Amino acid sequence: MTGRLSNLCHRVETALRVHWLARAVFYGLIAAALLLTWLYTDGESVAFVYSEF
Amino acid sequence: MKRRLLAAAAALVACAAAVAGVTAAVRTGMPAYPAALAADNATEKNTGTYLVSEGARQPDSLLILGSSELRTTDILTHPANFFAGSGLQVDLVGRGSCQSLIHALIVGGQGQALEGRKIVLITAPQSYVPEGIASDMFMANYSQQQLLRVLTDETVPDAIKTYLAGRVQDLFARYEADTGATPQKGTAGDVLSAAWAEGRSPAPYLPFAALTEWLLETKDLADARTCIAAYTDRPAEARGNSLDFDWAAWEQAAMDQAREMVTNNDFAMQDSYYATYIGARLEQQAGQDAGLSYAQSPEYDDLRCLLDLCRLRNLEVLFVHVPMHGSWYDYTGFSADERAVYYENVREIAAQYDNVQLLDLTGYEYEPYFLCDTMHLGWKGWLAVDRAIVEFVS
Repeated sequence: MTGRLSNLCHRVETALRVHWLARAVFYGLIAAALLLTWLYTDGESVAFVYSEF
Repeated sequence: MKRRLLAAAAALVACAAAVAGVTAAVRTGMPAYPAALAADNATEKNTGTYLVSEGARQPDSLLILGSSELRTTDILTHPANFFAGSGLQVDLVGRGSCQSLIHALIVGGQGQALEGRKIVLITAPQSYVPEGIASDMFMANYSQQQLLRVLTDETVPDAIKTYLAGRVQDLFARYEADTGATPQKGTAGDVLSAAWAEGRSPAPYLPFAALTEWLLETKDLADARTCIAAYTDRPAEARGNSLDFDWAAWEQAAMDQAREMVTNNDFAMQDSYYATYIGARLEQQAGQDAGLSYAQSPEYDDLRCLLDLCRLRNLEVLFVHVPMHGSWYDYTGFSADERAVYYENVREIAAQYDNVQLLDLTGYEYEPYFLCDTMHLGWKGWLAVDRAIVEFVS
């Protein structure tokens, strides 16, 4: 199992180094992941600490 | 070299396509607005634009802009309870420290989505302290998306943009002075408002503002989706179409509840509030507000800006002028004369706007159970507002 995973990682790494299209798709996926993380993260830049009195 | 350039271009195109795809997916097929969300002052309503504009599109909906008094839903006569199941759906927007400047951004950020509508505006006396809105409370409620909407809206006069921009820059500076932090530095809202405040041309910053606004609108929709999902499973209140109420019965019910909830003090304040905030510290608070005055405050100009925006959008405003707790403030030394100055200042401002109908409740300072604590509308106070709302919408 570990051997197959290692082999797969090696093939992906080779594809990214060699093929410009694979790199472009990879960067696109990274961009999408970052955007989705930002969109669905609760982003209060300043906490609301309110006292009634 | 050529291959590298092509590879870089392909990567850029892929990133742009990914961003466009994600934003399209978020913007498409927004879920229906759940009725249960209207009567809840969810935070997402304060800092976005989508939920307020969708709420305004719901049938028989009335926007109520307020602050901390909106949370007192344990009071029977609170509009969220009073109008439940009736012919009117109240849409509550605001939380503690949402003062006039925040309300101005909320209204301004709607563009023309509220054009010609009726709204209720509740102002809180404690907003009119000499310093105006606290910098940390402003920052916690500030919406860059709303500010960008106003500053890039060609229908908003330059005078309003310049005023809002100046206040925002002032509060950014105060927050930095108070905390050392600059969470908004270099953002589109910061650079654009600085240009407007300093009388420089905003043109160089418009592309940055447009890109930021597009991203923030997408985030607003994502936040709205998450918010709506939390309300979708709540049962929808069966709606009637009547605004006929037995006022005598409601007053009796309000008094019955008030007597149950007020048992531990002579100020007719809700037990829980009194125990938490006053209680054993009662003696220490005698005379603590001596010398306090609401005669001068930036809040007055913020209120004018808010009402200017309401007039610009042809909004018909029911403006609730909330009283202060007479016997409490007599005890703490905030004199009746000073309170009267504040009341008159607000009356004078409201009188300058034909589209503003003032509901002046300041004569009820000493009415037991009109407020539920030192500052918030209570059993009788909310009932007075409910009655005015029924007349306002009829």
